[in-house]
Amino acid sequence: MRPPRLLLAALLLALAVTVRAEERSVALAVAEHGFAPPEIEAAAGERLRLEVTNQTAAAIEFESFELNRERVVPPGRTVAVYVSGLSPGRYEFFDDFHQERRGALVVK
Amino acid sequence: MIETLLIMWRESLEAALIVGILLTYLARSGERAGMRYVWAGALGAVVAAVAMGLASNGAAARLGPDAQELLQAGVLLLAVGVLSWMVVWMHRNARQMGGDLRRRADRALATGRLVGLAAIAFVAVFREGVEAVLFLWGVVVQRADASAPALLAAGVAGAGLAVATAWLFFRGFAFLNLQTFFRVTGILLLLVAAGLLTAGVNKLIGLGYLSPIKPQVWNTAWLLREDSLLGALLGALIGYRSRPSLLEVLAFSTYLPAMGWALRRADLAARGAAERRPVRSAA
Repeated sequence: MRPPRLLLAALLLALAVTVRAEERSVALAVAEHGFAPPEIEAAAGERLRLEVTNQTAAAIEFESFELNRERVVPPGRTVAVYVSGLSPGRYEFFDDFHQERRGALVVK
Repeated sequence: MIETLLIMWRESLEAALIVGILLTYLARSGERAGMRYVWAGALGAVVAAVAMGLASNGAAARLGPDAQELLQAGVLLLAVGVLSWMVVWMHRNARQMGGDLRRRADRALATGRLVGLAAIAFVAVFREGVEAVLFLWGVVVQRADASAPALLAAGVAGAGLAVATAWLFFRGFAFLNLQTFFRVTGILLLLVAAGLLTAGVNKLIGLGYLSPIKPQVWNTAWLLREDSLLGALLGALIGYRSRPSLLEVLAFSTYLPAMGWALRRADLAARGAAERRPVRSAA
């Protein structure tokens, strides 16, 4: 099959942008009572590496419709979730397996 | 209890729909052998998911969670490849439908295709299965009391409900005549594959290997939310997201014309073969 050229070009561009970008790591813990810290701040356009650690005894699912991300985190493990190029605004996230746990990324 | 049921319904829906569309297609093409392979792939995946889910719960899990996620992205892209190839031969198959019995026997599925069917069913069920097992295990750990069995039962019921949803969904297809049915399921399978491709790209973006180019092209949350019934159904079936990134939109919208081109080429090849035959058969 002929490779879809537009997609290939976009993938290469996306890869190039990724390689060049600098990132900032932010720790985000999930405890029984919820996210810690419950709110994270970031600058517009910044590339963030959210290090989501599950401190509870059960699996959690870090999910955000606003950020278009979802990741299951087994108990006691840490996963990296990248977000980048965001416009100013409030981006909420939650634990899909325990929906009372909520937090937000505030981009200024 | 209800929450556990709903979460398991959502976690199992995608797998149920993908297995459902394969079984529905094969049932109507009279390919019983293919159906057995799909069941084998799906059941094998349930066993593998339970094993993997329980293993990755222990601290001894060999692969880190990010390596597992990367593996999942790779498996997704592989599934897109296999599914695309299946759609092309199914399309060719559909063109020959309605022939005499001998021809039907001639186009009995080759082993490679059967394994391909099993592989797609396996990937669909395994992917969701691991998450479902992790979730249910968490339910058991959190409620180490008398309510755990009831919650576990609610979770299993949720998965059963997902299978029922898929069954109801594809039952609706029974009213279509054969030609329309193959056209509709063909298009649906292409959309499913495009959705899987987008999901794979989304994982690579989330892992930091690819840039979204632009994180949010549009926002259709006002129209359809991911946590609504229809949103969940479309999310499971064709990868609907209310706020996709530009790279995901490009992946989805490049895949469809590329496959359209591949199918057209298969059509032309089939027509060429038919013209070379001494007695031309009615398609």
